[in-house]
Parts: sequence; structure tokens; C-alpha cells
Amino acid sequence: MKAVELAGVTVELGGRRVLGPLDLVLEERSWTLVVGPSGSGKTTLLRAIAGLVSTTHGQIFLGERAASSGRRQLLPPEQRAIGFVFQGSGAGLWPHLGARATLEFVLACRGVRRAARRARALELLELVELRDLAERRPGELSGGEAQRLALARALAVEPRLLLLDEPLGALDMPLRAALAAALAGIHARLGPTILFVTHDPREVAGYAQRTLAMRDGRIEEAA
Amino acid sequence: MSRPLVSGAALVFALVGLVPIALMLARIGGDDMATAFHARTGHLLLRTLWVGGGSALLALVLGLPYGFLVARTDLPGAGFLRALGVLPLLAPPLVLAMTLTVTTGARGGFAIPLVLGLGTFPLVALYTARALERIDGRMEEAARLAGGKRAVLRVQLPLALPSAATAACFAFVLAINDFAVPDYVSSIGAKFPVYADEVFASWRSAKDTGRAVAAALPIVLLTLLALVPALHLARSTRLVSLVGDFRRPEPLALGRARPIALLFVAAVLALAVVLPIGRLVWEAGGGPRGFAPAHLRASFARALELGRSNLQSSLLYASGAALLCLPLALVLGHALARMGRWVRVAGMIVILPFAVPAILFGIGSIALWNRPLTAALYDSGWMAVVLLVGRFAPFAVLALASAAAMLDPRMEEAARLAGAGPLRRLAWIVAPALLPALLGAGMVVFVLALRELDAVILVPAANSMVLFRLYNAVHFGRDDFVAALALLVVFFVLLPGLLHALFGRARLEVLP
Repeated sequence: MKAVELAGVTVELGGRRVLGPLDLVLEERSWTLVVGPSGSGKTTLLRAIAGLVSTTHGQIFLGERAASSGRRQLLPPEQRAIGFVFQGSGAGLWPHLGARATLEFVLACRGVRRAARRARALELLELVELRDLAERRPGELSGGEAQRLALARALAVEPRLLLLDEPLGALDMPLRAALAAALAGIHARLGPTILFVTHDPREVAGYAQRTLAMRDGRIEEAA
Repeated sequence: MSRPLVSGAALVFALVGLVPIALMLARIGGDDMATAFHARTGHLLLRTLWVGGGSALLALVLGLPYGFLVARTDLPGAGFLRALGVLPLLAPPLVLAMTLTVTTGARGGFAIPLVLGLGTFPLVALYTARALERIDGRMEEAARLAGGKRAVLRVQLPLALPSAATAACFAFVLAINDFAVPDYVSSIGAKFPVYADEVFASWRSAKDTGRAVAAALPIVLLTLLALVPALHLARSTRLVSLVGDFRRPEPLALGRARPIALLFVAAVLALAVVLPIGRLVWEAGGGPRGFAPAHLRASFARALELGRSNLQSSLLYASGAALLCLPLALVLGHALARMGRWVRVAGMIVILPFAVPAILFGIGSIALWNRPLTAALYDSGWMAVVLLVGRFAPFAVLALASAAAMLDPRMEEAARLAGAGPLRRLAWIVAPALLPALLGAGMVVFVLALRELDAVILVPAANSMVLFRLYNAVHFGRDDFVAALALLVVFFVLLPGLLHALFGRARLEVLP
């Protein structure tokens, strides 16, 4: 079963083509790496799939549903059931909310009843080994802890598709290995389709089934 | 952001802030335009330029070094001196005029730029300080390694100058639109009529809106001419020196220059803070008849007794205006920050209610609301609130837009992907993240509304406001009651800042 399909997708920003034309199919429960130099369009690819940037041409399907067609967004980002871990320090975490409150907010948005939110949030924190830091805000977490919270936030959506934009980039080597192993465990248990952008494919070597190399907005080779 | 929400907020903003201006302009007749090109208008223009230019120059000369010294050096008590230096900006200009003219002996065309320059120098200092604090510490360290302190200054100055120039443009706009100070100065010595006087006089003498508006057209143009570069500079320099992993710079050691720096800061504060407040305290305590603490207490008791209802009304109207401005500012400021290429045009439209002379805005509001259908509103205190919201919402909107532009967009994107709708994102993600800016904007609107005289002077609700009471009192005699009432006004203007300094934790963002 296809989880994602891109057909002739292009993205133009400020009149300049930054992505595509691109054809791509990701199978359900698969784990795909995206590698390539800076500015090759890796992040734009993820943002286009998530609906955070508008496509110019082509179609994007999520499962059987058309998510976008040309410039038209048929499925808004909040209805795509996508978990996204953003690139960089902070990872777009909400500075005013503690770890548990962050997850409870997401669960509230997904319509989870108040009574069930706390337990589910703690479960997710357990999953990423942040149970003891449940009340800490992002500013009070280390780089690795913040990244794990970002991962838990993405998982709280119960995503069919997990988009990870260099989630290990800001971490030191031991932390990278630990978080990559945690991610592999989560993938084995929950089975979301993963699209993982990285500069260093070695950090998740052995977990991914496929690697896409991007250059100048196009997929140069797939292995 | 939800389109209906933004449209609703824009509609309210247009009604209270833009329609009065449109109505004013619509009332100009063909004959009225002759007023704009009258020879007298040329004289007024020159005088107004003198007032604006002189004030802006004084504000720049004092504010630039002041901002640098209190923000970036090891000047003793820099934090306290920085806070103290804001006081002249917060105090009503009329109060500064009342005290500085009598203490310095300045009159006429010299007194007005002196008062308004001293009143607006904190604006330049604040903008300069903010710009300097945004310079990454590593940039300074690199300059230091290359050429010592002199090289550091050469790096800092070009980065701070655009911000200081922006603030000087704002000081110019505030000065040329001020009515109370030229009016007061003209009432105690040689007359020095400027545009704002002329507009007021045209309206008062014949209730001739068309003529009053036509007379003011050059000043509107002048204001816009000053605001265009100011807004451009503010936008282009806002984040010029911020980098992702920002490192706060270390304070620069003043070394042997420290006594001179202290002397400069002390002299500025003596002139702009100690002299006016000291004079008011002295007058309230008996003045030329001999200062006595008992007399001071009696003056305050009398001012509180006679001015209580005025103070209450003003506090109520100012609080109401601040509260109503916040939701408007949150929605419109956020929308403005996320706008694409039309953002500059939108910024210019937003600032229009503040760009026109306050007197003129008041006249436009009268034209809009003084109708049979809205007579109840017009005759009530709500009219003052509506007018103050229309006049000062631009500050709040631009301050929120500035803060929202610095928000990490990924925070909202993450919330959107989580399924949060526009209202939920606004209430749970954007508003809490912008809380310091919201509180700051609320405080600024409260302070501006409390010290406002020019815009509200013509509506019935003004009779119950404390600044109007002060304005009347100071024109009909000068006694201990006036001084005590002025001190009470200054106290209430400073109260939010004092409360925040005592109990607040977050640093407020107040600058657009």
C-alpha cells in the first residue's frame, strides 16, 4: 500500500523553482532516508508533503486521498495526520508549555477527552524517556531532551507519516545513537511511515530500507 | 489565521481609526484648499518644521549617547538610570512644559523644541539601547581583537544609527503634531503659533471642519514623509544583527571616561526628570511662600478631593482603551507579521490614525459619532474610550506585529499539524508566546491614553478627564493644587511601570 505519492510535484518560492519536478512513492510502514547538500530541497520536500508550503504543479496523495493538486490545497495540514520534527535547536517547541502540557495540547487538538489526556501524555513521555521531566519547559531541557520532546509531540498526532528534518543534527554522537535506537523501537511498535532527512546517513544506518539522494531540488538517485 | 477573525478586527480598526480620517478629508471643499496655500500657512509650516526638527535633533543628541551608556557599558546603576530615563517620555508634555518653562526661563520658539526634545529623547535612547543589545557578542569580540574599543564603537555605531534615526523620526512626528505644549508656551509669553494651534483655532472659532482639515494637510504630508523612512528603517534594521545562536555581549568598560559619562547622564536626568518633578513638589509644598511638608500633604489632599472624579474617569477610560486595543492588536499584529509583499502598505495604513494631528483625529471622530443615531455614545464616557482606541491602537498593532515577526513560525506550524484551528493557535500558542509584547502594548496604550489631551479635548467626555482639568487649571492660574494634581497624574502614568518593576518577571516588549 502506498502511504505517500508525489506526481510531477514542483515548488516555486519567490519565482524560483526550489523543488521538482519530482515523482516519488513511499510504501506504508517504510523508512526512507533523504540525503543531499544544503539547499538541495530536502526540507522543502518535507514541508510540501506536510502542506506547510504550497506546491506549484503536480499532485500529492496521502494514502488514497489527494492532498494537493497544483496550487490547490485539498487537505489542510491539520487533517493530514502527519507528525513533523523540525530542524534545528528548539525544534519549534512551545516555550510557555511544559513537556506534559505540550502533549496534552496536541491531544486536545486531536479531540482526546480531558480525562484521557494526562495518561496518554505520560505514556508518550515514557516512550521517549522523559517521564521524569514532564513538568519542564523546553528552555529547561537539554538539546537531546528537547529533541525527544519534539518527537513525542509528533507522535501524539498518531501519525500515519512521520517527517523528520535532521532530528539528530543538534546532538552529540552518543545521544544520536540513543535517539536513533529509540526511533527504531517506536517505528517497530507503532509503524508509521518515516521520511528522515539527514546529512549523515550513518546515524540511522541499518534502520532505513531506502535512501534518496537529492540535488538542486530533484532526486538524483534512489538506493 | 482565520479570515473572518482578521476581517472582523480590521473592520473595527477601520471604524474607530480610519473612518474618522476619511470623513475629515471628505469634508474639504474647493474653497477650503486655499487655506492650505495661504501665506500664513507658509509661516506656520516653517515654525512647525523648526519645532519638529529642533525637537528631533535634541532627542537624537541626548538619546543616542544615553541609550549607549545605559545599555552597553559598565556605568554604575545603569539599569536604574535606564528606567529613570524613560520618565520624560511618559510624563504628559503639558506637565513638562509647565515646569521646564518656569525653571529654565525658556519662552517662545526656543521653549517648544526644548520641552518636546527632552520629552522624546527617551524614545531615541530606548531604540538605540535595543539595537545595541541585539548585536551578537562575538561580533564585538572580533572587532575588539582587531582594533580595541575604538573598533567596537565603529562596529556598533552603524548598527545603532538606523534605529536612533527611526526614533528621531518618531520624535519629529510627535513634536509637529503636539498641541498642548505650543498652546501653553504661547499662553505664557511670546506667541509661537504652529499648525496644531491653527487647526484647533479654526475648529473652535467657526466649527469649520473643512477649513481646519485643509489647513492641516501640509502637516499630514510632513508626518507621512517622516513616517515612511521611519517605518522602513524600523523594518529593515529590526533583526539585522540577530543570529540563530545569539550571544549577549559583555558590557564595555568605560575606564577613564566613566566620570564624564556619569556627568552626562546625570545632567540629562537633572534637566528632564529632577527639575520638572522637583519643581512640582516645591510648588505643591508652598512654592515661593515657603516649602513645608504639611503644606505638601494639604495640597495632595486637596488635589485628591477636587480631582478624584477626574482621575477616576481618566483611569477608567485609559484602562478601557488598553483592554480593547489588545485583542485588536493581537489579531491584526499577527496578521501583519505574516503578511507577504503588502506589509509596508498595510503598515502605513495602520499608522494613519496616529499620523494625523491628534486634534484633527478628534474632529474626524466628532464628525463620525456626533449623529442622532450615536448620540448616546457620543455624550457618554465611551466616546473617550472609542477615540483613544482609534488613536492608539496603531501602537499596539505595530508592537505586536514586531514581536510576532520574531516568533518561530515552526511553533504555529507544529500546532497546525497537531490539528489546532486558527482560534486555538491564537489563544494557546501565539498569545502566550506574545505575552510580554501584549502586556507591554497594553501598558503603552494605557500610559498614552492617560496623558492624552489633544485628541479628546473637543468631545464632551473630556470635561471629566484629569488632563483637561489640568489644562484648564494651568491656564487660569498656577497654584499648589495644579502642581499636586500634575504630580498625581505623573504618579498614575508611572504606576503600571512601577508595578511591573516590583512584581513582573518577564521583560516587556513595548517598541514597535
